[in-house]
Amino acid sequence: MKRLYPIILIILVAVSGCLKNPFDTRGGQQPAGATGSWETPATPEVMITNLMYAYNEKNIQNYQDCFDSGFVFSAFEDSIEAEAQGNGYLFQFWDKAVEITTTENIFTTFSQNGNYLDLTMSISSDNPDNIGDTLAVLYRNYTLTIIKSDSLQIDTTEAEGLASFTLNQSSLNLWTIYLWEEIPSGRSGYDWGDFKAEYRNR
Amino acid sequence: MGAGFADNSNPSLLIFDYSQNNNTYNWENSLKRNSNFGRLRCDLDVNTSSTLIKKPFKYWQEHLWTNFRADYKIADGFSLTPYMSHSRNALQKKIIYSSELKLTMPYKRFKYFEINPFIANKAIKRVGDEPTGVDKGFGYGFSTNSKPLKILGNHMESSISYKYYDLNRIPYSEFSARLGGLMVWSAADTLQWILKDAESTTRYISGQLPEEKDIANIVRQVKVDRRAEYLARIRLPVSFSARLTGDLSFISYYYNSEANISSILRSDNYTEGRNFNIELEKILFGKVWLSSGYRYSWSEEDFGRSELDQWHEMGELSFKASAEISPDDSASFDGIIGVTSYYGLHGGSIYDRDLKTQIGNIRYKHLFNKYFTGEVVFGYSSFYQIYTSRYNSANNNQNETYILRSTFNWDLTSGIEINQSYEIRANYIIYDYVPNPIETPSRIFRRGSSETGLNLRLSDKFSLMPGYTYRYEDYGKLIWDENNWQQATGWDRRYHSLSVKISYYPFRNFGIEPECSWESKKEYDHKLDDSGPTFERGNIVREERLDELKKIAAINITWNFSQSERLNLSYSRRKWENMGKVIDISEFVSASVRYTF
Repeated sequence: MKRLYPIILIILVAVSGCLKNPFDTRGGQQPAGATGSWETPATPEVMITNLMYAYNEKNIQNYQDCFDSGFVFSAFEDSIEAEAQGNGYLFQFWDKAVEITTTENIFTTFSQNGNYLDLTMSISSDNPDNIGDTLAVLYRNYTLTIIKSDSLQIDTTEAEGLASFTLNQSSLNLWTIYLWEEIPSGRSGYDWGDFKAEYRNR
Repeated sequence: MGAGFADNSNPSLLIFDYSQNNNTYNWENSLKRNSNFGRLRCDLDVNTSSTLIKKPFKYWQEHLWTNFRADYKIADGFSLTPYMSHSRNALQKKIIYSSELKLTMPYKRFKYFEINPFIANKAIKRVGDEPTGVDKGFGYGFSTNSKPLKILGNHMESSISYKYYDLNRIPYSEFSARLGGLMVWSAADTLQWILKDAESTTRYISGQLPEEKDIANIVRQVKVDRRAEYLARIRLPVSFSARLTGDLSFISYYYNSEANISSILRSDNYTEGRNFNIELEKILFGKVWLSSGYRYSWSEEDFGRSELDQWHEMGELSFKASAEISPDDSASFDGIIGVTSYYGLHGGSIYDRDLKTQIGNIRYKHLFNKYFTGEVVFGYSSFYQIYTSRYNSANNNQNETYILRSTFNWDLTSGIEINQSYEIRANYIIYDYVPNPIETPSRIFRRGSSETGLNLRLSDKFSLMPGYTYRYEDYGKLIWDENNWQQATGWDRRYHSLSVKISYYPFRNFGIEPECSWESKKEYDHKLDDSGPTFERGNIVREERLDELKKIAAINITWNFSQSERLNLSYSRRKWENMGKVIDISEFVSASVRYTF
């Protein structure tokens, strides 16, 4: 045991500079913008609406609150298109941390002047929602309008497709999304997964 | 390298799974076959999966993956391990075929380590959408693992591996090394540490066929992933014990392209992180267990794009306690308080923010007698988000939840068990910035629910399990008025669910479980009455917006032919009506067969 004390001491000294006060927070400036849209996710549909608002308003904290800690994003093109482009692992291990970092990159990029992002979602009549008491699967058709501009040109792209969101009801956060599956359009089109993949850090 | 060889925990297995609903069909089949012929052992693994989605257009995905691995023992500590794999991955018209032949020669006769060199040939063929073509080439590499070794009191372990595949389009190499040790002073005092390094190099060619390839589009990527981790357990004076864990990590990507490709994915970048956690624990009088800890996390991301780079820091205190108050009473408490801060790496960012987290739970359980128990739980959570920049600070809010739940369990007789639980919950979202009281974004959500479940074991073979759930919810604005919070309800909802499940096992290995449930949900909007006589206008009226009924019937049949053979069939049908009109009828069927050799 006595031989272990010096090692523990070394560990404690090494980490002693790494302390953060768990009670102290910074203050916010007087707001200049509008409040983001967020409703208590008492139903799974509300959570999907929150997701859409958070995306359009580029509110990363509200966006983060849409997802369960065990969240996984899955795109069917993983092993086909991505690998063919030499990005075989682009969709691999896409958890909540990756989702948030990727979306922060998107929000930051599209907060700059001349860039624009607009997401619309609608119910898929071919794939009715399956909502249980604690588990729900919702299908949404989406259109994401992406406008990027620089000094030379304005480039407008539309990502379209169908996504399924699996939600569960947790004790603290009511409904949260824990699985987001991109369903390919079958037309080899550009979809939301492709767009997100462009902003994944690697 | 393929799957490990057969042993008692990895038996030969055949699996057929099929399921379908109104729009999607799934097939999942697999065969694992292990053979042992003394000096020769073989593993065969075949997996197929298919998914068909019918609407709005036919979408078909198929995956076939098969591999064969053998191990032929030439002499003690020396063997030959051939490995073959083939896969077919298809999405509509796009298909990728992938094949690999590999020969590994494990040699274990050195005193301090074993080595596994290999040679391989790999081919990947793409059909359908661009880019098509064949990517093939030769590969080689090795892996070594040290044998158990004790140095300076450390039980050491180490491994190194390297592989290189010279594919004509996308060549790649991977290197990894690992060094770890375990120091044990006594059963309670240990230090475990590990150092890891993984490096890989690959080349990307975007779009073109090999014969057309434009050298300007070749990008070389190098990934470096280095980590160090430790875990220490120590017994401290006065019967305290401590657990320390921590890690350091550094992940970086370097790109080298002959063209100036302005892609967000193609710039040098790194992510650095460090975490540590210390927990102290003590047991008082053998009946009270106390634990407290501090967790720290820090990370930095630099992608060479000033507006995206950030670092974050988190500090968190935690407390846990549990006690046996008397033979019939026990209680526990757990709590967390912490702050996570996000900062722009090169100065202030509009996403700079703090998130303050406070979570606490108290549980109390009482044994009234050996047939009747009760438990009460109180929970509180608060998430306070504070954006520092004025562009986002309008979103600053505190999200608080209060939960009170009681559960009772009553074993009435040997064949009758009753479970009853009640829960009330309130969720407040209170914004710091409220432009005017009526247009406040602050909200309150309330829920009260009751769940009753019975388990009637009428015989060893027959059980009846009725259940009933009632839930009330309402939601609306939260207005600070007259020095008090006022709720302006926007809607309310009532939910009833009645279910009956029967479990009937006429034979020990054969069971039928039918189930029926009815779920009714009604929602009402609360609106200002703007009709009728003037003196009645301005009153709040409830207006029905949803009257939903779901009828669900299901049956599940299980047939265990033997300990190694099992068949499971299930079917469910749901009829969903709103305001008396049928919205959807959905059916789900699944069949599953397991056979262990």
